[in-house]
Amino acid sequence: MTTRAPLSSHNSSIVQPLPSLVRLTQVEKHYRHHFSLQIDELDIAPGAWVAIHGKSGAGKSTLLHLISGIDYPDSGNVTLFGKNLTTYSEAALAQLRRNQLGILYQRYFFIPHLPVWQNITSKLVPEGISTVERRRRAKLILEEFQLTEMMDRAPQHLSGGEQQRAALARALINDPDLLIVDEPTSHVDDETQSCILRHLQKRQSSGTTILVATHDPNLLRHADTLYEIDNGNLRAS
Amino acid sequence: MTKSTPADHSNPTTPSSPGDKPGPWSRHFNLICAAIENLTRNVLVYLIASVALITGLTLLLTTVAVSEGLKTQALRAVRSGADIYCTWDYFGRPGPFPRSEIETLSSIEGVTRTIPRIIGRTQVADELAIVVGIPLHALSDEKLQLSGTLPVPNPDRPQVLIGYELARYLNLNVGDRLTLQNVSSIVFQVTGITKTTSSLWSAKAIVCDINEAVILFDEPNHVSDICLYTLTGAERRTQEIVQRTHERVKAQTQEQVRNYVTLGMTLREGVFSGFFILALVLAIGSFSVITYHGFAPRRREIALLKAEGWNTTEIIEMIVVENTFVSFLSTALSLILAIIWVRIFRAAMIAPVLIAELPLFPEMDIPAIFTPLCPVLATLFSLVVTMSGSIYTTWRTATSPVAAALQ
Repeated sequence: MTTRAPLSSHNSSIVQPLPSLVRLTQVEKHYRHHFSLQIDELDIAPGAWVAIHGKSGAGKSTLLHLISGIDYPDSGNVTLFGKNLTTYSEAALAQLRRNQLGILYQRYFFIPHLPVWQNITSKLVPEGISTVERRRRAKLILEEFQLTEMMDRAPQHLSGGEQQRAALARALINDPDLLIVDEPTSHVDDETQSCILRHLQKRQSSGTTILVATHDPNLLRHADTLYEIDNGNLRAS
Repeated sequence: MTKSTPADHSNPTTPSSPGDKPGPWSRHFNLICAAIENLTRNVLVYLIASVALITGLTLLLTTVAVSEGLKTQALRAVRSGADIYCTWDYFGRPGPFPRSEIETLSSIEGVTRTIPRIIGRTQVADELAIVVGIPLHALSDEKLQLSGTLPVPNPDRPQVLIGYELARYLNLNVGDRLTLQNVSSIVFQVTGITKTTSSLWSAKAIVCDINEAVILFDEPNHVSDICLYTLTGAERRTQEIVQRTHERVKAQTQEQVRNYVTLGMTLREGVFSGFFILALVLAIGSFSVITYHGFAPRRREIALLKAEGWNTTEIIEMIVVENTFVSFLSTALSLILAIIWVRIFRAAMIAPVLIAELPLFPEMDIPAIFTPLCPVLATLFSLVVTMSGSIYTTWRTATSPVAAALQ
């Protein structure tokens, strides 16, 4: 497996080993009673764009859940920002998710009774950011996604593409160091796909590490590193 | 390890000004606002979840208020009554008191006044009325709220005071005439009618002179009991002397009667409390199921908040605030419903549990007092229900793997 240096690197001719932002070692996760995910080793350097592809049900989402800490492996180690996930206290993990992680779920998962702007700024609430400031930040980021007019609507009143863009806005609201994205361009139109790709590229160029699970050839093409999950086993492709 | 980028002031995550840096209490303020937001956007859910709670609380408040009202009325009557009540032991129960013993009691040192009473029942049309025969000079309109005047001894036209409920049933007014089934030859004149604000015992009472009562019940040699008034502070001593006058004389002080009244009301409340506790358990269950346990979107919401960086304490803090508001609102609504139930529906179906021989849907005003203790108790119960039904399930969801709860 080859890891490219981030695009922002000035010494692109020299491949330097970078300390891992994400590291998985001998990770196993059993689920669905008969299926298991097995990762011997996975290293993701800061600023990299790593794409994972595979058939439906191969375990891509499970892998992303393990890396983001919303699920736990049955065995093995998941290291995030230099620290084993199991050693994070609850408060530290919460801080991590607020300040350094951005997650775009496969199924949006909005809180239906809150308007869009409150959904995308939900991680700013326990930070003590005032309502006025949260709304300002929401407006700014929704402008980037051409969703300003939707900010006061309930998320279920948005189209599929609008919801996907709003979900990405939520993942980016805290300018994360690591962006974990699960099937961002599935079931959306070409315009939304382009918009999402554009934003991912922009974020990577500013140093955000991107981990994406996708079938989309456009996203796969832009990745620095490709992995494939086949029958629960991860291998470079 | 974080990305190394120059400071980006167009980045939406940077504060717009130094003053936007959150203060130490801003987090809690945000959580309170989030709780209120959840409440206002899920009013129907919380209303449905709180139905059992509000029902139980309304029952509790109504019962406590009626019980308190009855107790207060009864105690007021006892306090304004005699210092010692004397009855005659008849096969171990209060029986007819020989009139011959009245003089003996009157002559006891410390006794200032002796009032014999005849208390019985008689049929008036289809209604059963309580006849109270006493020396009319002992009546005082300071203690009775009535329209008209107190009856006075009148051999030509015996006068009576009747209760408001009886007057309403028989369609009687002040000045009207009345005969009783026992002795239809005596025609009484109604001189006064108790007001609805007077005590419940008088609602169906006919107060007449004791001599008329003697004729009514054909008991020239006995009375029901004797009321004794004593010198202040001499009640106990006088009671002891009275008890020694005859082995069959049973004397109880006003304080003892008060205690019996209180005990009797407490026992009845206790029976009702058993049903209330059952209602409370059901309320906890229904609140838990509807708002959390059986309500998948709420579990998913909690999981999402965890994924977005909320910790368990913050989620529980928000839930506690939500439930505190629900408790207060439920209490307020229950109080309003209880007041309506008592004042408009006359504590239907509850008052008959506490007052004997009252129909299921009373047609008289029921005494009820809503003390400050009522809403305090109700709020406490509300908090127990809402917190029991939510804190544990919230904690369980918040501490479970987020991925599973999101599915």
